Amino acid sequence: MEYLIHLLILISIYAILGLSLDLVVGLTGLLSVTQAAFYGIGAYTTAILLTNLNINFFLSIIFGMIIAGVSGLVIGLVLSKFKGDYYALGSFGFNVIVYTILLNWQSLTGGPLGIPGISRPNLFTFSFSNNLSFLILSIVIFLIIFGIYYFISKSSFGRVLRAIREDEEVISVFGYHTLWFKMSIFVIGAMLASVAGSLFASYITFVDPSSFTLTESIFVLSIIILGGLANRRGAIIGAVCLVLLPEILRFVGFPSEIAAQIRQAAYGLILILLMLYRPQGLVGEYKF
Amino acid sequence: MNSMDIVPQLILNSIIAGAIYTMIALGFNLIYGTTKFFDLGYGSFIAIGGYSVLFFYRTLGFNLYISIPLGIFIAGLVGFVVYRLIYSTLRSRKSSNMVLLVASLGVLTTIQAIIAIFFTSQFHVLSLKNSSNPISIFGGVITQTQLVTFILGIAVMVLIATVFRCSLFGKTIKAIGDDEEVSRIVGINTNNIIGWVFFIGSAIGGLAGILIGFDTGVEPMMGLSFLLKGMVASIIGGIGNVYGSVLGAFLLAFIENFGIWKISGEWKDAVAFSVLIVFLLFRPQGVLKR
Amino acid sequence: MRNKKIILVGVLIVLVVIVLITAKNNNQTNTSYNIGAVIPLTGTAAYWGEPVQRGILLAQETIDKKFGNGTLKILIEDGKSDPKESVSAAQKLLSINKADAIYVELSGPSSSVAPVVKNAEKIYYYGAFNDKVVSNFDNAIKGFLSYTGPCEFFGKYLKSSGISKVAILNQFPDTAPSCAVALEKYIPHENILLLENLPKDNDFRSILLQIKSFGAGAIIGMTYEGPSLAWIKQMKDLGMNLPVLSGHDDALTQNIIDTIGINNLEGSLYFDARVNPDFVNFYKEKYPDSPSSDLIPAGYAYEGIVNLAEAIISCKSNVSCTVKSFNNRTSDAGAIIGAGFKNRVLTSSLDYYLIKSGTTTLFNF
Repeated sequence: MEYLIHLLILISIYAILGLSLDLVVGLTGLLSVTQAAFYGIGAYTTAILLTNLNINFFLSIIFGMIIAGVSGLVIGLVLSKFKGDYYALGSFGFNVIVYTILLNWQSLTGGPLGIPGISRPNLFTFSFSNNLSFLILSIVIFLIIFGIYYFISKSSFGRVLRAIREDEEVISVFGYHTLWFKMSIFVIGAMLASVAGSLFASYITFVDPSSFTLTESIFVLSIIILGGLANRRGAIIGAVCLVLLPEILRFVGFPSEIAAQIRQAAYGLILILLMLYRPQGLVGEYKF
Repeated sequence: MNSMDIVPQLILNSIIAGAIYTMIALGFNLIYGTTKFFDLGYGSFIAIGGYSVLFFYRTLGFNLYISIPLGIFIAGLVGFVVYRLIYSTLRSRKSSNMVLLVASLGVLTTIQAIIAIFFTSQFHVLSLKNSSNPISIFGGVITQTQLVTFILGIAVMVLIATVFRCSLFGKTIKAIGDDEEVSRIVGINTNNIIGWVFFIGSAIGGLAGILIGFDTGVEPMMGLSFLLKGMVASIIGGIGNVYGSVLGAFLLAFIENFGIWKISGEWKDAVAFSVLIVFLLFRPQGVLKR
Repeated sequence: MRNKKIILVGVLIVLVVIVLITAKNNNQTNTSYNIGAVIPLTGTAAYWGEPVQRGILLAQETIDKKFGNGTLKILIEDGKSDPKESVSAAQKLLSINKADAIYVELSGPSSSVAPVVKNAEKIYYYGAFNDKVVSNFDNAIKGFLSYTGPCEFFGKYLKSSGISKVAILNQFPDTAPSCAVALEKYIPHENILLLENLPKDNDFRSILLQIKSFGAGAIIGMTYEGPSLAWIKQMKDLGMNLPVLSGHDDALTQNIIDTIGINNLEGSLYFDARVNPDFVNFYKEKYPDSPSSDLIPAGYAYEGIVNLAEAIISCKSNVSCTVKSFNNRTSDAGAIIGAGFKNRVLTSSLDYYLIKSGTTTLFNF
């Protein structure tokens, strides 16, 4: 049961990440592959504030969002100068730069050893040290973010974003200041990713830079591509599949000594097959 | 110890690294320039080249001059097969580049795992014993292996450049890179040509992997970081331009080596990408035009 | 569209059946006691996890022989060299397999899994380089050598050899500072160059040039075999013939000594945690093609698991009893000579070997 609760918590964190990225990639069409950087900023902010200054978890979420938001502003501004595929490449670069900072600014982040001993959230007198209570907390936060996604998606703001995705030149001719829209959604995406990071840090009670690499950003992208872009259920489905798949593989009886590597190979093969079978994503109606 | 003594060696080190990055960049440039998607699997083809030679040369004891061409061929072959089985199918269904990216992630994961199954995750050096006799040049030292690497890097560049400039094949590839749709309409068998592009590109990547294996060593997860370097180099230099890839590769190598001489080693990747971003900001089409 | 759905459902059913059939064999937990081992079998630390797995399998054989087949089973799960994946593995072992103890290798996973095991009130054994990785868990058992002793010995050797400056190449998280502190008994602080952030692509040439311009007379290598082979080879290629000081399982494995050539390592010194020759034979019999670099990770894992198993069985998996048993354990399981658990930390007696004039000899002051 604990195992299942643990997996559900991971799923909710990744679903939040998926939604945050989908706002940028799915709705607006900006191929950003740097979400792990903001995830990491949120995680480390919570880690540092909780271990060093004993600040309340929920307050640390706010701080994390501010720092991620500011970073998102700067990064998004630079990225906005790039077109198409160069945008993705530039975002790779930022992910690597943020990761390197987390790794090397040892006095602040503890370097490769990371920061252990992060406490669980505290609300008034209640502590979320029980995993079940933490799951409820993450689901509540997820639902809030789900609501934000829904609101943005259905609003006129969301319609402009979609228009930018379809044809940016046309919409700007109509007088919409597209840069402003792209920047806002990028910053919002960054802040939501940072919330996921704060949750992650307090749940695992430990952070180190290895959780926030380029590979992790690609993983989050895979979640929404697998689930389906521009679809609020897509992030959930994608997160469920990509978190559960390797866990299910743990139970398959492969020959023992090379079992782990076979599971990796199986995971890779299943990814390929899923893309071949359903390239628009499991619940996607929209093809990028 | 005079700091100035170090500079010739740093220059030599940069040239060697540049030669390797050149090969990776050329292979990447070829594939990306034609199909416009990031093939993460390319990283694993680099590893396949190195591991094939490990198998033939070290495990089976084949002659060196047979093992290396075999390794190059196998890397190219695997790249070609992956294209035909997976990417070509997806592209024929008009899948987006992001779907291809995820599929290529699957390819990378699977191939790395298979390599680890057969060769374990231990680090292996391809060269037997300490057979490299250092050669002194201008106050610095390089090994035979490194000299060969440099020569091959230039050779590959010259080869690719001539093929592109002078042959119909090269012009066809350029055409597909410019506009695939139109090329198809004009009657070019794009699927066929792209298959060849994957073969050649992956073969070049495999060669890079082999040289890395002789110089430093191989391990299953080696591909991804070199792939990223190759990407950075070819973007800096200018996508679709052969000379650009070479220039970008050497530029990257020099900046990295001189940069981390003073700063810590772990910043190497960050340096590489910062350079990329600066370039993208001020000269997005790359140093050399298409 | 209908057909596609039917095929999909069919494939899913087949998969579920396969999983159920094979899962039964893979996860029997009808033994009296279970140890759950979370090992990096894939990911960046896979080269370490693979021999560890083999050591654990050998430990299983020994335990079965000593206590009978149904007494204690060690279940191995892949931690994927990642903290959260290791938590998933540990959760699975605790919830599904009802493990009595969790054995973890690697710093990051040691940190992330600790609170899980603490909450489950089970026995925790972790192999990491530094105490700081696990906080608030006094009852945990640490199974790893500290480098303070060897580095002090190295300092003494350097001073007696007239080498005034030294560089430390380190990739073991957080061990280098304690090494530097130990060195400072013999070498002044400003003559020690500590390099910790090593390039991941095994291209150490620029760092070696840094060491050259620093003027170091020797290099202390706290790096795993793969990178070690790379930097020692590159050092020779650059014409820098500095003596290497390290462990026999770190930068001066037999494989490296043979590859680089013993004549090219003049003046190098290594400490050997003395893998028991009996264990070497035992290991090589089962895994004849394995490199000699396997022996230390496998040996330590074997040592830890067998000791842990014996303590669990004798204490009937009672947590405080098991942990107390480690306080007093001095007998070793036979893999690492002189190994024992003192205050729940694995220690072993060390021999030092000097490479001089083409041979290795035991070295003492």
